[in-house]
Amino acid sequence: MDLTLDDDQRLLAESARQLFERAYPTTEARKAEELPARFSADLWTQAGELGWPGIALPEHAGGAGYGLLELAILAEELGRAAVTLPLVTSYAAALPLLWAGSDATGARWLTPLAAGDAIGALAVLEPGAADERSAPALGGDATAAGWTLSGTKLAVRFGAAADVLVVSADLAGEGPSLVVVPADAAGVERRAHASFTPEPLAAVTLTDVAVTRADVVGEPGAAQAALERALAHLAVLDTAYAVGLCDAALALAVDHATNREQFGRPIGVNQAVSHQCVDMRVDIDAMRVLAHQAAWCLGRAGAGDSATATRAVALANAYARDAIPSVFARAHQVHGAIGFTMEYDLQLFSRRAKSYELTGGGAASHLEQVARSIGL
Amino acid sequence: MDFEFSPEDEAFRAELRAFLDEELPSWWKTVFVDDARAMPFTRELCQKLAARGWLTLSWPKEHGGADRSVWQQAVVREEMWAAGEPRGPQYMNLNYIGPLIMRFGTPEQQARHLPRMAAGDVIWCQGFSEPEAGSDLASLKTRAVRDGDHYVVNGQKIWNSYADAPADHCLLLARTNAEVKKQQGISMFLVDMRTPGITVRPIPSMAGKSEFSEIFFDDAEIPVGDRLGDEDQGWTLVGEGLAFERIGIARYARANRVLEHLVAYARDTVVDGRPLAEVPAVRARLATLAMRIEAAKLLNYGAISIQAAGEVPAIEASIARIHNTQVEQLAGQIGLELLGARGLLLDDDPWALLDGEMQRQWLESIPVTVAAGTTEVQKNIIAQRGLGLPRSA
Repeated sequence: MDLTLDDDQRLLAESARQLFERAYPTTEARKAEELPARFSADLWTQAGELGWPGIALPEHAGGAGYGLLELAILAEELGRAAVTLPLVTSYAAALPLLWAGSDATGARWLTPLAAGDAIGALAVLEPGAADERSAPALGGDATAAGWTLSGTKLAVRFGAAADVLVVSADLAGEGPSLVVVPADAAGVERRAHASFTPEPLAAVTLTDVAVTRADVVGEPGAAQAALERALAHLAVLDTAYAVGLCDAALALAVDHATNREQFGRPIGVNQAVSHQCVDMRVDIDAMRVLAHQAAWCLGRAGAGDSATATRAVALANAYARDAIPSVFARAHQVHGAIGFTMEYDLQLFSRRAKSYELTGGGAASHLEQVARSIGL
Repeated sequence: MDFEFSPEDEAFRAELRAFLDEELPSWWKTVFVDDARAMPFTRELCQKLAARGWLTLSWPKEHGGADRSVWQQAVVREEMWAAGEPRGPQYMNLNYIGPLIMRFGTPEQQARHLPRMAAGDVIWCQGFSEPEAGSDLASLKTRAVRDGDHYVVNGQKIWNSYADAPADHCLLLARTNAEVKKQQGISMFLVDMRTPGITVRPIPSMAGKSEFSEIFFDDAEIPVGDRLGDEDQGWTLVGEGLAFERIGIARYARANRVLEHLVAYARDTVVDGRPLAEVPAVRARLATLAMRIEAAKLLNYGAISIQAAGEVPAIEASIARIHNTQVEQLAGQIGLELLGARGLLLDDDPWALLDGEMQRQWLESIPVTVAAGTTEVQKNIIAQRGLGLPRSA
């Protein structure tokens, strides 16, 4: 047992933090939000040069062969700097291809995804579905060459920027499957959602998109395990990102409580204020250690199933989704009116945090996973 | 990072569990239950643990320990607290009173006290709080006035756990200098409780027997040789002692034992025609408890990791303590919610459920966010030393 980061992990976190502090102050996050893509292509290129998109992918897939924990450490730093990049979503889309994709899709996509030259996106959430784990209604009609896919996916993260979509579909005669669809395939239409979150979300509509057996991940009708595992990786990375968001909000709150004076003294001398900051820290430390445990367990499980990892992921997600509303309510309350102005940075973090809370299954669904893991 | 105990640690845990299964009598519940057999039993059990080298296993060999890792010490804390702390009051000796004597005691004090602690032979209580000095501990008024080769002590202590066990010794804080800043005039003493002039009066409390007493000092003469550390330097010792004490009780482990019992109960119990385990609100409550137990456990492990690296986990220990105390209370709260009106019944009522465990859990955990530094005091420490927030005037 040892819950401290090793020297390499600490160095990775520090170098990412320094890079963002130097080259990506929050003024850049604001500029990125105004771009059509809502993220900085330059910064994505830089991330690719640093090897981040492939850091947790194996070397045979063009990656660096580090673990999920290292990517989670990076994700926390992205969150702390309010950086929006397709780093973790593109990684999660690569996983089903890595684990069970055909040779053809692997050869076509894995190396570009690991290099950051291509962006992948999981297209799974549908209207009427509880969350990303729900069985797909998007249908695949059988044809001589394979299937044609028709249906709509919502809130696809980086869906408009993606080069390749990993789509869940109910294939005729086979059942729920995962299918690799190039974003420029005929019949794919993408429309950016209007949303308050800075992360770019898109509605993706497929109309008679032709796919073949080689485009299907693994056995047709047997996609759920790979999808759930990829979603678990994504959920852990998103949680680590959310830890960074929360920590940044806490730093702002502490700074404000220290420097804002009322009645002739800093407001932070009042326990009604200082204890709100402490309560944030008490939750954030728990979120972080639970996220680290989940990343460690899931990373060790690799492509295999692990009850320990499933439980650790559910615990981390349930805790963070439960805690985040109060962490940000406290951050806003400490700030008073300045906290909800667009001019002040807190909104950069609180809008992103709400995005985390509502995607990838809500608190109740993760809590239900926890209930199952304790024998209920 | 490594989130698993080593195989050696797990083997040790299995051995310890087998030992407890063998040794704990069927009547044993927790150390706070009013049963004349309890306190003598804890002394016997400590002696048996000592004989196996398990009582002071992480102490250095020179002081009667076994030099085992802090993680094996954590295993001991978990298994003991989950089993209702059958070491009784003696966990305090092991966690911090002994280590304080190792760090600040004279060779004579070490030779006199440490072997008896390592043998499981001696019960200590703590004499810190006073009626007018609780969270503001440094304003304590009990006076120790030097008179030749001894101090004459007068004053009153309160909320002293196990003083009526009876305790053999007391780790006492008393004012030796009233002319200086309040933190700088306090000394620490290793007091023999048989000293004439010391009276103990138990305070009946919701939380159970032996939880609290008062101690009165009337011209009690304490030899100068029983002062621990330098005169007027007691406050520094308090800070050192309490940093380790904050993670000294594995409260999450007892909450987890409660959770296991509640999960089994929910699976086995049919209410209004369906198993409790199928009621969504019950599932959510128990999952919430599991989630908070895990957070408390990992934060304790995080603080222990810092300790294992040879550093003092100051802020981390305070954060872990907040989670631990709150989750122990949550376990009792959720336990009683699940049982409903029958949760009110004591274990000797024929209609009691789960042997009355949930009412004990609830009652015994009421003090835990108050004793040894309130949650609010912990939060002040985190605010000032952890977050760097300004101190109130």
